[in-house]
Amino acid sequence: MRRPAFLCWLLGALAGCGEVLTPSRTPRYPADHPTLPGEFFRWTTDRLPVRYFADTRGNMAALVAHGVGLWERQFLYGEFRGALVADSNAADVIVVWQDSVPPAAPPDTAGAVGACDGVTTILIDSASAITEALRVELRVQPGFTLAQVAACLPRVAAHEVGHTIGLLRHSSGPDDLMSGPPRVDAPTARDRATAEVLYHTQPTITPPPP
Amino acid sequence: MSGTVRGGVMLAALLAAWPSGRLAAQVSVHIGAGARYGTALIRDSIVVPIELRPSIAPALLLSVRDELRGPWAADATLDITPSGLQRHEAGSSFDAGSVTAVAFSVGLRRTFANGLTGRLAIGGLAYTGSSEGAFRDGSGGLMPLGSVAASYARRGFTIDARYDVHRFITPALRAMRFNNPRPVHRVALTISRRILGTDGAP
Ligand SMILES: [Zn+2]
Repeated sequence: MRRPAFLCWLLGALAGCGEVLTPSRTPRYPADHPTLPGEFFRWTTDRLPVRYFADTRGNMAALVAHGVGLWERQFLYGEFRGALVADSNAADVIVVWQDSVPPAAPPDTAGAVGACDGVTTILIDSASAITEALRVELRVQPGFTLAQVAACLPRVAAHEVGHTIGLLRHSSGPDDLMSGPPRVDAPTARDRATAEVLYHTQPTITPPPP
Repeated sequence: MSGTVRGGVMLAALLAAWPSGRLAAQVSVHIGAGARYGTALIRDSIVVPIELRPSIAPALLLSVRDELRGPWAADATLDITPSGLQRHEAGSSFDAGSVTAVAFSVGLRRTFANGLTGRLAIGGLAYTGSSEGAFRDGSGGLMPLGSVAASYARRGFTIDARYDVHRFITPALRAMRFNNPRPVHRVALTISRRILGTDGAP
């Protein structure tokens, strides 16, 4: 075993010392629109970075930046990039609190599922064109501690950002970030494979006007 | 600024590695520049075939050469190539950032008749300057490098045709279940000039 490795090092692997296999992007789940089967949305290269406006109250900017960063890191070739913008009129995606703004607190993941939720609204016309900026609303649910809400919000924000990049359906895998509601903090291999395949699939739904 | 400082430090290190008594008589320092083409760093398939390829880029060389007996010489060469990265997919190209390849090699040169020289070298290559995409978890460290070159010297200048090969993989690629490093072949055409010392070549 050591000798081939040594030869590889010595020769600079002139001929290669092992077949290079392309990784599989399965398993994954569907990413098309739940009520428009076969219709796909993703941001095209000319629309990158996608511009996110975050509610200026509370820690929304940090939540959005965290979610965008998580999804950016799922791609090897820069297929998706996002950036925060200060002007909601110049945004492709607007993320706001639906009602109350939770105060900051140390997170407690125990019992945090359901402590908050979110909804992403994408308006699509009959020509399969998104007509205005995507809108995400995050909401705090009553009956939970501030610590549980603090643990819930980053994963729900990342889940909703997942919808905004084009993952329009929920995963049936309960451990995926795109399961509803999410029980994990980051995209899984299934989430990543689904997003990667989506970003090399021809979209049929056009993004909102720039 | 930092590149200049690093280059200066490397030149000092190269010179320090040579016995000082030899410097005046047999050791020479050369700088060179040219253009380099490289094959794909990554070949992938996500719905369609994908390649991540460095663009044709400048190649910058700094070399310390020591004349040995007869037609032989030894050298140590620092070779820097800052290049853009492009993703090629379904007949289109997309910008995918940039990266700098820094290679260091030690080689043996033999001069033939008519100013022609052949060089065989081994060394290491590291990528730096990117923290995105395939480089997000690091560049993969020092990768072994093998190199051959042919040179033609005339009127104080040397034209080099260089070929080298290394194997490329990064921690992010391993995490994405790429199982083995991929051979990356590079060719460069450079022109260089002696800036210090003397050597056997014209
Ligand atoms: Zn959802």
